[in-house]
Parts: sequence; C-alpha cells; structure tokens
Amino acid sequence: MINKTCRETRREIDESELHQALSDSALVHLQSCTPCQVFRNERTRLRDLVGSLEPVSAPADFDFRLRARLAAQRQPSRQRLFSTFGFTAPATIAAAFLVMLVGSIVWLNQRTPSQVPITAKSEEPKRPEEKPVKTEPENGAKPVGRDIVAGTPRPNRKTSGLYVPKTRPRSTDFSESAAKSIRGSDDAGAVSLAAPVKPLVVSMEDDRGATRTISLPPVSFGSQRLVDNRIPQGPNSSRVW
Amino acid sequence: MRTLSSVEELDFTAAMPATAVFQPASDHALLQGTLAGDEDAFAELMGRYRNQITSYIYRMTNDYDAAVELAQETFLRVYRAAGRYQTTHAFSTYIYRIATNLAISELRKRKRRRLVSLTGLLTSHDGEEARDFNPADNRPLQDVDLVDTERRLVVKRAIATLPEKYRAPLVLRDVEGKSYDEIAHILSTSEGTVKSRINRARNFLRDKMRNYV
Repeated sequence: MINKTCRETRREIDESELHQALSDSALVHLQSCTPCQVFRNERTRLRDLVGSLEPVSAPADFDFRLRARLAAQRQPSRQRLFSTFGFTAPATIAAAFLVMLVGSIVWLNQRTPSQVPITAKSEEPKRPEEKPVKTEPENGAKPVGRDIVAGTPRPNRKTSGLYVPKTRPRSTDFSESAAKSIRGSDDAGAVSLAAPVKPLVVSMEDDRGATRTISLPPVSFGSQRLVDNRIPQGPNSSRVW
Repeated sequence: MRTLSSVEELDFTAAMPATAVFQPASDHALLQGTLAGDEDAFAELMGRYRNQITSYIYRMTNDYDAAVELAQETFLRVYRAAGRYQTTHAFSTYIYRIATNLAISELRKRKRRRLVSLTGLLTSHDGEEARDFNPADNRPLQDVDLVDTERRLVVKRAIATLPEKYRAPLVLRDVEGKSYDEIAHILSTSEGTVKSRINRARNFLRDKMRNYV
C-alpha cells in the first residue's frame, strides 16, 4: 500500500541527483518500507544504465563541412536571384500554369479547323469533250480549263436542310497540257518508249474553300504510251504510237 | 613626481597580478564576436558544443548521420540568428533548444514517412506506447563485455521507443545531466511538467528493461 509518505519519498528519489544523499525523513521511511527500497534500487540501476551510454563525437570534418555550408549560403544562389525580383515559388508555379493554359488554348484553336472532316463530293470523272490534240500548240501555252460539273442538279437549299454555299464548287486542272505528237519528219523510225513524265493532277475546291489535289500517275505498257484511260476513245480519235 | 634613487624601488609586482590566469571567453562574448564577424569566435563556440550537440541529437534520433547533419544545421541557425540571441538564458540552453526542435522535427518527419528504424521497433496503435519488435534474449551471457554491450544496446533501443515528449527530457536529464530548470527552459515548459515527463519516461524504460534492472 502506497501512502503519502511513500509518494513523497519516491518523488524525492526521482528528483534527486544520482547517488545523492536523501533527506533524513526519506531515509527513515526507506528503512521501514520495502517497496520504496525496491523502487530506489530500480531507479538507481536504471539511471546508471542510461548514464552509461557513451557519448558520441562529431566527425573530424565537422568544422570543414560547416564552413563549406556557411560559405555556400553567403554566395548568391539562383533562389536568391529569383527572390530579388520578387518571384516566389507559388507565383512561379502559377505563372507557368497560366502560360501552359494559354498555349493549350491557342494550340487547340489552331488545330480545330484542320480537323473538320472534308466532305468529298462524288463527281463524274472528267470527260473532255475535245478530242486529243494532234498538233503541237504553236505558242506553247498550256491551256487551263475549268472542270465544271455539268448536268448535276443543284440541291434545293430550302428542302435539303443542308448548308449549300452560294458559290459553285470549282475544280481546276493545272497540269493539263496538250499531248505531244510525233511526226514522221522529226525522227524517222524513232519510237519514244518513255512514259508521260508528268502525272495528271486535278485540283478542286470544296464548298468551304479548301483545296484538294488528286494526282493520277501515268500508265505505261511496254513501248505503248497511253494517255489517261478515262479519256474515251471515240471513233475519230487516234492514238500516237 | 617622486624620483627613484635605485632600481630596486621599481615595484613590478604591484602593477602585475600575482598569477596570470587565462580566462576563457564566455559563450556570450564568443557570440558577440561572431556577430561582429569574428570567424575564430564562432569556431571556438563550435568546438565547445559540437560533440555535445551531436551526441544529444544522436540519442534523440538514434541515427548518427542524421545527428551530424542536424548538429550542423543547429550551428547554422545559431550563426544566422546571432543577432536575435538574447542573453536572458545561458547559451547552452539556447543551442540545446534549437537542437531539440530540429530533432523533434526529424522524428515527426520520420513518423509521417513511416520510416521504421532498422532496430525493428514498431509503435502501437495508440501512438504512445511502443513495443519491441525484436525483444532481447533473456538467456544469460557468459562474457561480461557482451553483457555490457547488450545492455547498452537494449538501453538505446528502449530510449528510441520512447515518445518524443518523454524522450527529450529523459535524455537531457539522465544522459546530458541537465538540471530541471535548464530542461524546462530548453523545452519551453514548466519544471513540474519536466519532472512528470521524466518520471513517466523512467517508468517506460523500467517496463522495457525489466530483465536488466
């Protein structure tokens, strides 16, 4: 049973210095109280154990490392340079985020028109009404023609419900030129084996103003030079061999 | 003005002290010198306290590398805040307070990061009590040196398991030998609280080292 005297004695034991003499009243109590004697012995051994821990020493290069750190702090660092201009870490992060946001918006705005799907219009293949030119043009100018879709009915804007531009779609062939003819008087007995060099290029504009170019590669078969297969062979047409 | 008649009348002993005693500069004077830009004064101050601070932080963190790093940080803070130092308390109290704050911050960081010490100590669910993951072997050892070595190891482990609020006053009292008043100033608390915490810390240790006490 721990009474008031025991508590006071134990408090004195706890608060005293190690191996310090206790007061007379505490010593008298210890002679008659076995639990307090056990408590004192435990506390003394415990404090001896804890006090027996050997102190550790700082490493030999402690001073050198500390001086190096002090010298490093004296030098103007990059962080101090930023702080000189009033830039703090949150402000820098916010500014970077704002720049990224604006850049993303600009990029999306530039990218959106090109992603609009272009509606391809089915048109009949070009059917030149003129016969193949047999003679070489005298002035050498390349005739430029307009590919007009003839005979296609205009859609009714009111009934179709689709947006139909007022301007008619146009297509232009910039590479169409007259075929080269071989005359007997030029190179007698020589037959050109070369295929047409230039491909047939057709450029068209759709209703949104976008230009689409279709390139048709030339076709050759042996020594036979063929013109575009889409050109129908009429009864009066003749090929050049 | 009196004229001297002989050389013997010259009394040098009266002008000089009997024994020239070298009085080391106090901590306050060294800190004032540091504030004035005297690097030697700061080096002297560092030489006085580097081992004490390193040892104290090592007892708190049980990690030597961290103790050295935090001891250096302690001196850096002393150097930077030399102008704000007030001489109302002893310099040792001031520097121990900085070291205590750094050590407790390090312990809390480790607790947040769930960095369990390599000694295999785990804290229990309530966060106050701690239990030994690898309890000591109770079998008697033959060699006395081995017994002492194991005792020290057990003491270190037991101290490392103490909650930080009990660990700091116990180390300051029983390892560093500080007075209750000084510990109270270092920990910025009352003397009664210090005594109470030391008592509880000793009870913790007694329970953990029952086989050795």
